[in-house]
Amino acid sequence: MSGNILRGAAPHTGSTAFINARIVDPTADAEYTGAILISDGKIADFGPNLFASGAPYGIESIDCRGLYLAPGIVDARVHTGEPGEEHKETLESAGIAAAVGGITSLVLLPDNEPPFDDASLIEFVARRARQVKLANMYAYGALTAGLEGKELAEIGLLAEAGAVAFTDADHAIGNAQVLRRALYYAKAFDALIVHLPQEPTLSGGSMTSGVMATRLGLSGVPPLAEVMMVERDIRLVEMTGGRLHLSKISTAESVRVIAAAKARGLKLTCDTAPPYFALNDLAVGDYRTFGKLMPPLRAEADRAAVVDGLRSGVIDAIVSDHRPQDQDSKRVPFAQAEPGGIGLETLLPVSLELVHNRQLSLPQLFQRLSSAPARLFNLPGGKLAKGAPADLVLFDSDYAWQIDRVDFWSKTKNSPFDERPVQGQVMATIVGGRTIYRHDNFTPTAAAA
Amino acid sequence: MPATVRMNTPRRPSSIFTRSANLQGLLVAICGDIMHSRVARSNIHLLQIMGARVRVVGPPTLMPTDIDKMGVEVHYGMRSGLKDVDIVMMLRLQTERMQGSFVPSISEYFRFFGLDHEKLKFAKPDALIMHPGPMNRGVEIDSEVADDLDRSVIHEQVEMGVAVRMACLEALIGGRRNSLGAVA
Repeated sequence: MSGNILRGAAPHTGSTAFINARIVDPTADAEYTGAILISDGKIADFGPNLFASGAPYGIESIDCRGLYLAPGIVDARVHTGEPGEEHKETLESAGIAAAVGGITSLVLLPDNEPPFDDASLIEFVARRARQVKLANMYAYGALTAGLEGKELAEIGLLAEAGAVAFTDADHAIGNAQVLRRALYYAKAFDALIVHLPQEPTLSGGSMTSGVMATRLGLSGVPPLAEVMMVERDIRLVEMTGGRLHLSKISTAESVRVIAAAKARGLKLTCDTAPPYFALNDLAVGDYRTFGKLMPPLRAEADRAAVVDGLRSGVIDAIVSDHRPQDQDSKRVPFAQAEPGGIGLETLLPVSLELVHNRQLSLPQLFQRLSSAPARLFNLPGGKLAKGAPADLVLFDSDYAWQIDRVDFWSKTKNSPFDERPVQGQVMATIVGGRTIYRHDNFTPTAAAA
Repeated sequence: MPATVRMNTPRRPSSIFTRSANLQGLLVAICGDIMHSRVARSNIHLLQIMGARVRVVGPPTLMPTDIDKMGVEVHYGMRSGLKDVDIVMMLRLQTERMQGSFVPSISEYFRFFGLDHEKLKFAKPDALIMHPGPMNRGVEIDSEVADDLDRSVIHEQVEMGVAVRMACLEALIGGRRNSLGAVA
């Protein structure tokens, strides 16, 4: 991968203008040629008429040369190996991969060793994020103690320490009473609970049930195991009035049921990840363990329904679900392989396919990638607004390249998108006004005053 | 005389009477494990009959469904729950409830729902503190607050509780008295 991570830059002070940019404004649902002015790390002004007559005099200007400039991606589902499995990924290596991927804020899952069920772990993440000084990093708190799905974690204390939401990561909570109590209890702190809706007793298989699984001789996971849990969780929300966000929706039935629940006025939200709108179970191919994911890749009809759910807005957000796995975890028989794929560097390029295929507009895509996640998790950034942090991504939507695992900046290379040709690449990533990553193909020249 | 008096721990807030001649318009906050408390229910009934306004304060997992239909204000936080309150009644949290199913831990409960001087500041400056006992110090109430003689009427309350139980038993047994009140 040809680019540079820019470390050690001092916090942004003074003013910088990004001119000749194709601006993507998700909250205004608009796209136009214009400029953004940032000041002391924050967005000061933006619009189609800003600096329309030329570069401002006396301010540092960056000529974006018609490239797209959007609010940086807010990735609400990232797993690293720190603490516990640092050989797979550290907060530093994840920060680097995120910068390359145009991600300016990320929320870290709590399923580490030890899990984030104590306030000290939340503080650890915050301290490490300050040291790494790349993307803004936030942490989930565990929903149950030890992520065992039995007793409530100290949600209040974790929230006080800075946890932005609560989840048991990829452990679905099979006990309805536990999730019900968690939804009730979390109301005292107005806390958001994020749940993976997969019936645990039916999810032991290696891939989705179907022709492909049968042909390969692999144990199958019935797709209905997802909507069963989605329906149960919807009733729990009705019962408790709690705040729930369902993660990694991958089937047509789930999209249908969630749409109906939203139409009834229920405050439920959900997300999906690129494998579920860009791949189907054929990607497992010849037992490619990079294609082993949780939930598993689904049949083509489900993939199409997920795309439709993103288009209509039933699915509110896109997450990377970055989960690094090393050789020991993946170079084993398919049934024994750990599920998971990295996703920080491929999130934007693969998501841009939705725009190239005319399924979503660019502003709509950035609603799913930036503004909605920021709003749902109550995070600064993710939008263009005066006073908002200057977290931006500059990208070339036509840049054609092929995803190749040798080029990954992540410590591990387990991507289900390996060898996929894509169109779209990050040219620069700006966090708090500081450029933290620049692609070799983009060298900002100071525009003529 | 029909025995209409409930024998189950009638917590007549007699101590409140020493402060204010009647309960009319007083704001009382009952805090803690409302769901499993007989005291809370008796008090809600009686205090409302006597004209007081009642709030229930506690974590949502310890709040009975539809408690608001009993005419009380429901609060999930002590800051809003104790605001401008005249009387703070703390309920005991039983150990079984603490083990992570209703409430994650003692430290979390004490931090957000336990009565300490910080939270007491949300109530009126001369608010009284009551507790039907026995107290779990460091769980629902800070020792310092429980023993604060200017604010806490807990000892008086326990004493009055004994007297009221005696009176109830007398009434139920149907003891006869002469005009001077002596047993006939």
